[in-house]
Amino acid sequence: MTRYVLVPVICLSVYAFLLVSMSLSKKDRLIKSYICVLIAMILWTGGSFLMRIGMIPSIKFWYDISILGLLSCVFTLFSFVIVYINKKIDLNCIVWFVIMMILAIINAYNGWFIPAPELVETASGVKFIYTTTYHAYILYAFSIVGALNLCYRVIKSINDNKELINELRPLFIGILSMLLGHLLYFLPVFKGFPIDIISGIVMAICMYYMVYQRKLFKLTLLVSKMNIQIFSFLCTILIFVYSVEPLDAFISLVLGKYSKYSAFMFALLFTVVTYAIFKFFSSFIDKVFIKNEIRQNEALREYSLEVNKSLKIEDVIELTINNLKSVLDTNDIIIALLDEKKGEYVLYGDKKYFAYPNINDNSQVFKYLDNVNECVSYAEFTRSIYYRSLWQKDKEYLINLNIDLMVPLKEEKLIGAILLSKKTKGSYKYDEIVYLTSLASVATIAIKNGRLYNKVFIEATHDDLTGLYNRRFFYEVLEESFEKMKSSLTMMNISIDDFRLYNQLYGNSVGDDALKKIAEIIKATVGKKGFAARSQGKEYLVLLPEYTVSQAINLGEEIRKQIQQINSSGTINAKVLTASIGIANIPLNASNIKQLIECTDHATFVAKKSGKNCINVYNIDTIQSNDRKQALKASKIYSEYSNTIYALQAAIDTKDHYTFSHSNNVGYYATELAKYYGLSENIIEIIREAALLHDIGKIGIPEHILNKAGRLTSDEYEIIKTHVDNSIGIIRHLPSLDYVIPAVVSHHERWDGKGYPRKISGNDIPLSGRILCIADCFDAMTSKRAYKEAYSVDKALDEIDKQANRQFDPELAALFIKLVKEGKIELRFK
Amino acid sequence: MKFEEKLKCEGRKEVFDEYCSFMDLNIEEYMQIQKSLLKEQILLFTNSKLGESIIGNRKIETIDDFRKYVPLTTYEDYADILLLKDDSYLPKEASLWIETTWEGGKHPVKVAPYSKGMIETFFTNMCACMLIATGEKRYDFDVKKEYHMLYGLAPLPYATGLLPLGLDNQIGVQLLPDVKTANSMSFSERNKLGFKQGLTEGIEYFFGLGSVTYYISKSLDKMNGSSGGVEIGKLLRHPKRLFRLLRGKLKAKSENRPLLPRDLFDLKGFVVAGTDNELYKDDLEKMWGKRPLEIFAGTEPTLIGTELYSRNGMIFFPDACFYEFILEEDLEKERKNPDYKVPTYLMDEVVPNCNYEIVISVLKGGAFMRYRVGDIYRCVSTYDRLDNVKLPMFKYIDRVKDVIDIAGFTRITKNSIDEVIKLSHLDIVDYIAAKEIIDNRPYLHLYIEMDPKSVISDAVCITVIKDHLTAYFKFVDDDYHDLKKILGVDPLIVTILKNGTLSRYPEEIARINPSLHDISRMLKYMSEAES
Repeated sequence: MTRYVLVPVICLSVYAFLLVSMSLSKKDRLIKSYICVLIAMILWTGGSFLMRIGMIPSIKFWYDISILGLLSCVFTLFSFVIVYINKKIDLNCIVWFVIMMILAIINAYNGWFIPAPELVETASGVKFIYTTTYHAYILYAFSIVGALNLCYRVIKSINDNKELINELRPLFIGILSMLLGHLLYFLPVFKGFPIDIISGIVMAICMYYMVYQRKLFKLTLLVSKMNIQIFSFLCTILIFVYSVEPLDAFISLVLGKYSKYSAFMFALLFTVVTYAIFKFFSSFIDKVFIKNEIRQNEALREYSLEVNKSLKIEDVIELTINNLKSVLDTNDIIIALLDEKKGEYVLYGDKKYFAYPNINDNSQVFKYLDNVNECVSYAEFTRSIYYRSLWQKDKEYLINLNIDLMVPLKEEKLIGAILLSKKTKGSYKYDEIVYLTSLASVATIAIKNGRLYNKVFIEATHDDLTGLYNRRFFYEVLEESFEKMKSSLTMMNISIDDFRLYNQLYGNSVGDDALKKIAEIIKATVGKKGFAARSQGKEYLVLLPEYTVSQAINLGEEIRKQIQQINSSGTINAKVLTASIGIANIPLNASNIKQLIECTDHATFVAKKSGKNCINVYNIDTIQSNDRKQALKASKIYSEYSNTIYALQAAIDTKDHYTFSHSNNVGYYATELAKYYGLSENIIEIIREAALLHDIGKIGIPEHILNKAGRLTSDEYEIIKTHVDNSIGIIRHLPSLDYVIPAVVSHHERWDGKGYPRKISGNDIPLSGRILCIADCFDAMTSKRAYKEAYSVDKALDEIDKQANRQFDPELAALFIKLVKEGKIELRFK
Repeated sequence: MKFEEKLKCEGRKEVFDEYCSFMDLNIEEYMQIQKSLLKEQILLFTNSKLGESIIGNRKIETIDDFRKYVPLTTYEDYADILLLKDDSYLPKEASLWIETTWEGGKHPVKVAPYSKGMIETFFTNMCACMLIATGEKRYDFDVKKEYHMLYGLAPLPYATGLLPLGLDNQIGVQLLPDVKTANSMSFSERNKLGFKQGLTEGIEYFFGLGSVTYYISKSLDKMNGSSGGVEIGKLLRHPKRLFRLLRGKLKAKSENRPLLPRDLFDLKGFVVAGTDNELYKDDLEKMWGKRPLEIFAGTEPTLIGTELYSRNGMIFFPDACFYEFILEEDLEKERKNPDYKVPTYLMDEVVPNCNYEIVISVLKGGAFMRYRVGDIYRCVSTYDRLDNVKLPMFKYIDRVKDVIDIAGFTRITKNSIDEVIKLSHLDIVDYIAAKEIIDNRPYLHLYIEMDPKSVISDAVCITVIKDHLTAYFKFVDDDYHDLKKILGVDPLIVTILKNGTLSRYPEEIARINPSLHDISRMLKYMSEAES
């Protein structure tokens, strides 16, 4: 045995390392074929080594194993390359397998090609003597033909697919090294040195790199620091084994009389060389193999840090796209995120993709991603049934986007996907896919957090009903805008006129719909130039940075007109919505935010007082004059119409003699009851006016029904009931009196909900209506009518008491009885 | 990426799965694809002017609504709009307008728009047919661009012209002769040139109408004889051809039989389309050593179905059309009562051993919805063990009864026969027309009854009448003319009935394609009358 025996040991270690790393990875056709190559090489090198150390059973046995391994290398290598170029193991591979096996069997049988070496003991030790004849060249010829055949197949594949040339470069280097190794073996200078076996290592490493290029495994399994240290140590031993004698002589010569320290020098040199080799291999592997992995790990760490700091989805998207662009050599990255409200996936990416329509959430591509739940190539998608079901429109989008790889963003359910276009060069590798998967997990959580934050943010800053910003956030923005203000800041307060009445007329649900519509109008009209919010109930605020007052007036006018249109197309009885708008400006009207808000409020107030449905710009003089005018006007409202009302009442009187005095009586009873109930003067006045007008609709009822002595038929009663609607119809044409409508419309409603026309009950009936109801009934009972005599007061009060909680509000009924009995309400008879 | 590139860059399994995965669907998955794509089509159709003309302003959102409110249609429903060839009326812009004759020339041509999506699907499914045609089982296929294809198909604007175009576009196979050269040649010239080129280069694929491939194959008979119909001098100038011929002849001689195409060519894939293929398949298999794979394609439906490896029946591609079926019994009820509203069945509702008329809605922006193509299929089973398919399998039976289709070339209707009789000035007072298969070949058999007066004054004999009618059939119907010109087939048989036979023949029995039982009953009347 010579000292060269260590070469196969090191080679075997290398093969073993590679084999172990391959065995640990997910095996596909390529990795399996590479494992076959490694096994063949282990047989070859292992056989050679065991032969050299004279392992039992015999030198011949191990020699045959070695030859079997060597010949197996030919067809396993062939198969590896065929698989690598995406071809099927075909007859060509099988032929080479058969040929090589036959050659190995023949050689094992009689050593016809290269007989087993003879063991000769010489003075310098044991030597293996090989007796080669021309037969050996036949074996080499077969191997060369095999190599040429392989080259032919490879070149043919490269012609079909030029991209393969780069991927196959290491293969050519490996084949060249194998050929050189076997040729150099015959040179005298390498006599006895197993350079052919070393060339096998080069080949194996080249193939390893080829497999690595396809990124089918994780390299860190193999190239840990510990493994590199062990490898460096073995290399140093190998070097020292071969250089120990000349080195010893050299050290002795250099050290001279200090040669007794030669052992120390050896130790020192050994350490230095080991370290140098370690550093060399570390940097080599880092540079060639795991540079990308390190870079990716670093990028992922940075991404995680940054993305976790961000709560805005837009920021997460931007960070994700930027990160992927820096790590992957890809043309375009698109992120599709599910918008549940819209029911579609919205695409984010480079600006040019904003033009692309969004993809419906029913699209098969997302159903597929939801189903596969892992990173998939577009090609793989095209092989699924989902692709067959994919709408042509979506198919064309995806083709236009040039999508190559798709990564689902999914936690419990799919929330989106990262769509990557083709790489500038080559295809996506294993480690890139692993990276994408990791990044997608981080991104999913970040997007989910972003959405939660968005939800909370929206809840905190938006008005639930209208979706506009709320008052608090408006003031925050107002302050920010004031800080940033360059030239001017205009604020607008939009107050809906008589909205309470609208709510009472149509109910809160219809009122809410109107508020939503108004919000939509404001939002659409203001657009991105301003900032709109709902301040409270029926008021909206609009902030218009850099707007002049005249621009704001135009905008306000636009909004006012649109609001007026909301109900204009409705039924004839629909109340038209209007808005009073107040505008103020910094620096024209105010110098700070507080003043701006006050001015805007004031301007709105003046608009209301000026007859509503108008725009008013804050002006101190106008306010003073308007205040006076408004006060004057308010006092005149009723008197303006009193003649009309009187005329109407007189007209009814001619038809129904009881009605005129009845209205006055009801007015008295109702205002007294309201007064003792503790209502404000304004409301008492409204109730009084409502009482005067509450039966005004009877003008439309035929006289014979109104004055019928007997019991009304059900049809007649139905006609009588229409007087409520008729009253509303008449009052509607007296614009400033429309606030009495709620009382009028509900004076026939019953506490138990069995009244008419709306059949509302309890506190849903406006208070004014409940008061009118008692007053109306009391007067009706205590008056003589065509169909009945007048009740006594006691009987009437008794009836009110009986009907409390049924027809009447129990609290008001009790109060009314009490007031009458105490004489605080005087009786009025015709 | 084209099919050709995929073959280079992807593994065989991947390529096969991409194109042929429809074979592995179960009926639920199949219907999922059908319904998903129909929803898109409904959206496109209802938003088009063409759709408006068919269904009015009714809003169709679900598949149930679609089947309830969209009427069954025929070409007449579309003709006014489609013949304008105006894209603005269509659900999707037409990338191609395909033409065909309409009722044997009585009407102007029929045109059908093909959208980009339809053409893509057509090509994809055509590649699937190629993969199946060239293999014996799943994942086994032999498709190479170096291979040569002989084809017997009408060029564009006929639908069959899309097949060579697609093969050229997707696979890049060597067409014999190439499309450009072929378009400038007559049918027989093209076949001759194709054969010559095939003798030099080889023929690996053969694609055509069943009747045409048979005709082309039969023309090889000329090769028999001392020089095989080809001059030795010419052959010597083409050693490849000479070698192929000699090798073929030796093979035929060693088996002591005439030279057959299979002696000359090693066919990898053999595909036939059109009608009456069943009549030719056995002969074609004998001649080429490979049983042809039948596909179904048409002007309106596009490429919709293919046989599989066992050749036990066809399955329909799930992404070409949405399929509905009308039971044959319901067709009979409809014939007797035109107001009868025939029910339709979906693919997951068909029953084995029943005959159905197919109703298609072309997907991917097609123009035809709930369209009655006029073809009858038989559902042979709802699965196939040999091919390991869990979908209904169909066999093409024939056209609907009121259309007589001869060898996929011509479609003869009552209208066209009436026209021919009118032009011929023959005193035929009544007739019955039936498609009959004699010696495995299709014929049009006209049973005619002459005016008794003309029998006295005119030369009334079968030969004269047949020549007369043939001349006018050719005049009226170009396709009939082609049948004679291209295939050398004279499909007309005339039988003169005894006067008064048809007047005794019950009127409710169809004049076109009555059942065999009815014909024999009629002949019985005649013989009874004679006796």
